[in-house]
Amino acid sequence: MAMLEVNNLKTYFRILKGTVYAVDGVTFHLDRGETMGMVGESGCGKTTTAFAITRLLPFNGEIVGGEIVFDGTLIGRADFPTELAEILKEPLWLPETRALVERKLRKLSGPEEESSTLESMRHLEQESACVEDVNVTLNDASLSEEEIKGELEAIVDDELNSFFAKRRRRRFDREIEEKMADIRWSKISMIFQGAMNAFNPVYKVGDQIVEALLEHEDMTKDEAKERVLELFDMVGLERSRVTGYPHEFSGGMRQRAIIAMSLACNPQLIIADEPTTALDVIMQDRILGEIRELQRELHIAMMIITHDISVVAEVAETIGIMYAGKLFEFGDIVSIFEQSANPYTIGLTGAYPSIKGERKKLIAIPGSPPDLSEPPHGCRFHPRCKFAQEICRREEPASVEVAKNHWSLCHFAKEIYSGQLT
Amino acid sequence: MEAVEEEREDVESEEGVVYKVVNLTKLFPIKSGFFASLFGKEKNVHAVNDVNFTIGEGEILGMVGESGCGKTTCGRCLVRLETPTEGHMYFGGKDITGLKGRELKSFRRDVQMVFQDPYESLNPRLNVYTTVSEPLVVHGVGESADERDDMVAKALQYAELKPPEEFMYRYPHELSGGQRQRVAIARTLVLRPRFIVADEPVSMLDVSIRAGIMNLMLSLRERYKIPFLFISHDVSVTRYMSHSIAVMYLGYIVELGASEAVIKDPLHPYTEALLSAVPVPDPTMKHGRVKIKGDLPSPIDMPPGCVFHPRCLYRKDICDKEMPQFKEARPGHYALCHFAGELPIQRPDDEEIFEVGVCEYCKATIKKGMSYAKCDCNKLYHESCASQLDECPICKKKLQVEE
Ligand SMILES: Nc1ncnc2c1ncn2[C@@H]1O[C@H](COP(=O)(O)OP(=O)(O)OP(=O)(O)O)[C@@H](O)[C@H]1O
Ligand SMILES: Nc1ncnc2c1ncn2[C@@H]1O[C@H](COP(=O)(O)OP(=O)(O)O)[C@@H](O)[C@H]1O
Ligand code: SF4
Ligand code: SF4
Ligand SMILES: [Mg+2]
Ligand SMILES: [Mg+2]
Ligand SMILES: [Zn+2]
Ligand SMILES: [Zn+2]
Repeated sequence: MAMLEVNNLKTYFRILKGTVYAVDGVTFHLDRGETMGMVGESGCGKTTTAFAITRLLPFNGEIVGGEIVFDGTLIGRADFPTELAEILKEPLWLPETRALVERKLRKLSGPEEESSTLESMRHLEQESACVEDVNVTLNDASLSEEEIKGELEAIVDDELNSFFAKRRRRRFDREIEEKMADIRWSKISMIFQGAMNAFNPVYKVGDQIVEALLEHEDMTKDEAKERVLELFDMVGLERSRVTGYPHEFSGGMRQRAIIAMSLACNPQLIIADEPTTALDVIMQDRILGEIRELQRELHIAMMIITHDISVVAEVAETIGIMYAGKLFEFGDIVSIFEQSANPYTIGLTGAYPSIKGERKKLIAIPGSPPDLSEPPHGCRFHPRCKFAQEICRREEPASVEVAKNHWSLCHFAKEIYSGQLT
Repeated sequence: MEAVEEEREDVESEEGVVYKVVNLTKLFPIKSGFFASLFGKEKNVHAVNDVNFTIGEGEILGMVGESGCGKTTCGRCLVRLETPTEGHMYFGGKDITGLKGRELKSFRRDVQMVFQDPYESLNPRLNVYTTVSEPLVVHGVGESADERDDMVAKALQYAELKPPEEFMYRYPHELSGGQRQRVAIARTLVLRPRFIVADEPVSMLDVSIRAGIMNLMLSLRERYKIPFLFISHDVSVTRYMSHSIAVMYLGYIVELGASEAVIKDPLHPYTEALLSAVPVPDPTMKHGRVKIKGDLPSPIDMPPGCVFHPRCLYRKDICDKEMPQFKEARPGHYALCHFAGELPIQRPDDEEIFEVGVCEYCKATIKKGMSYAKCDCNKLYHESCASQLDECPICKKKLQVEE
């Protein structure tokens, strides 16, 4: 089992005019000590994925499907009625409901499955009555499709609003939240997008890291102070800077201080959202180099989120390419760069200039990314895809494993991978 | 360097040269406290220092450098949104450095600037038609409303917003980032400018859209032979866009030459470091890293001698004493360095990597051929760093320089 497993994660935002389908069925995993790059254009759901993993979603955001397992502990999951409620709104609700119910029943009946954990089992058992109800309704031959849907909606409505179910859900949420509070910072730490302003301007930088340490680690104030000095050494900041205020730090120094903060509690995983985007190339190169060295030394896994595919090419072993809330391609970085199985990835790499080799003509992808409150039907990339066929407008593609450790979300993944389609 | 004279002096128009910049300098005085201004010498931000270049017919000159090195200020001088402190600028052979009043207005009709942020450069309350036709109104161009409509429609078409009617009455919030940047470009094109400064025009755009805007600008240049100054902090983007490249550092152009020459065979130690830091979109390529010392100094207290000497790996005795010449080390390829053309510079396509390691003291690269000390604990130190240290700070052994 990988250290971090994200299975079919769906995270939506509720807004006035409806729902933003920000992350919509994302599956990937990350091993110990491994670096994964998550790339994608602005607004495609990268930050939301990171917030879902760390349970730091804003109030209007909610995990509505899938689960997140870290080191064998369930740290994120939507419960059955919530997930079903979302599925029932989709045009393909029937097969998706069947798939969901089958999955749940398999987990309930079978012994330990790949990513199921004790906690998720316990939670599942509490849901089992509802799953059973849904299953019976689905297989009731006397009902028409319309009637089935009506019944299911009633069951879901009941579950979501019943007093006991609500209380159960709250308790479960609280349990996960408590677990996550232990894990956040001490095992998973996060470098936020725009973190240049992460420090409070009125307190000394060193004191702020000491505070964070005291909160999460069992140590005395003197030990924490000593640890901060060590951390400053580690990231190449002069020890004398611990008494400095944030405004006295340059952009690069602030970024180093933030990295020091993220390393404070010896995490096993760092999620870094655009850690170098605001920096100049020379500083970016330095910081990336330092992150990589520390990571190797301390054997930390890392998820680097960025819109710059060349940054990922420099540092990562695996890559995930996101578009419009979906993971279009995921796997080994060399395999994906050398033999992509996805039209969006091919489009993205073809639009990237380089200083190496010959100057080659760049090809733009026509159009622009969709508004995620109204994503296109079928494959979300179809309005811009040069390979698009009739089926792409109609049906959502499934993820295909084209080679070992290489997945692509496309109806023609195999043909593109093998070069039959170019 | 002479001060800008009131009297203008035009130069012989050189064949094919549209813009000629001679010793351009722009200082911004710092408003310091009363006492400081009484006792101290007045301080300045040296935004642009003694810059020289020419831009030919239909040429795109790319300008790269780190944040704050003076790219935008230089561009603003060229369209006279800023008045230079010293030096001269000749547009079509005519000295436009000190233009005022009506002459300045007519000059501004011929030169246009495209800005970085497509979200801020358009007024959210004006629709596309009003935005694009505004320059026509300001400059009193076009006899009738019909003629102006026609000019706006054409400009939108040039910017590949087709059909123009579909876009004319939209507001910025109804456009995507790429479309907004196209509107900004249409606005600069409507007056048929003879020169365009594009300041980071694609930096805020997503990759998939960025390539479209870059190709649009290239095709405009192709079709109408409009020369550009293309400003960007992104070296890969600048290489794609430009015929020649100027590399700026602390307000100075430290290297200037044909685009491929500067990228493939750089002369200046700063360019070497800059190029080696550029990430490459290919996970199988390893490239030599050349790390320089320290951080960018402030443009207020400029280093004496060569501006790059505090960070340079190749620095010699002369470097902090004498200002180097802008030397033509190869035909048409200049560098501001005493040793331009003589240094073993790492090139982006070099297979061989000249890096021996990183100096434990100054964190900069130690390259092959440099003298350095290797301590028993395997740490490396530049010769100069070792002599400052005397003993290894890690294991406290005495350092011996080898090679
Ligand atoms: N109006 C001004 N008054 C004072 N200083 C200024 C002014 N405009 C620019 N500067 C300073 O001049 C220097 C060069 O600035 P400029 O905006 O030209 O840099 P740049 O190369 O365009 O940077 P960036 O890549 O961040 O856009 C900087 O130190 C800047 O702070
Ligand atoms: N709090 C929120 N409320 C509503 N929509 C949101 C919120 N945060 C993000 N979104 C939307 O979710 C989508 C994904 O956003 P985000 O994860 O920030 O993308 P990225 O990090 O890839 O740029 C976008 O369409 C964005 O507008
Ligand atoms: S499924 Fe169809 S539209 Fe989507 S990426 Fe593949 S070919 Fe293109
Ligand atoms: S003049 Fe000296 S300090 Fe300046 S770049 Fe050349 S070698 Fe380096
Ligand atoms: Mg983001
Ligand atoms: Mg600028
Ligand atoms: Zn050194
Ligand atoms: Zn030693």
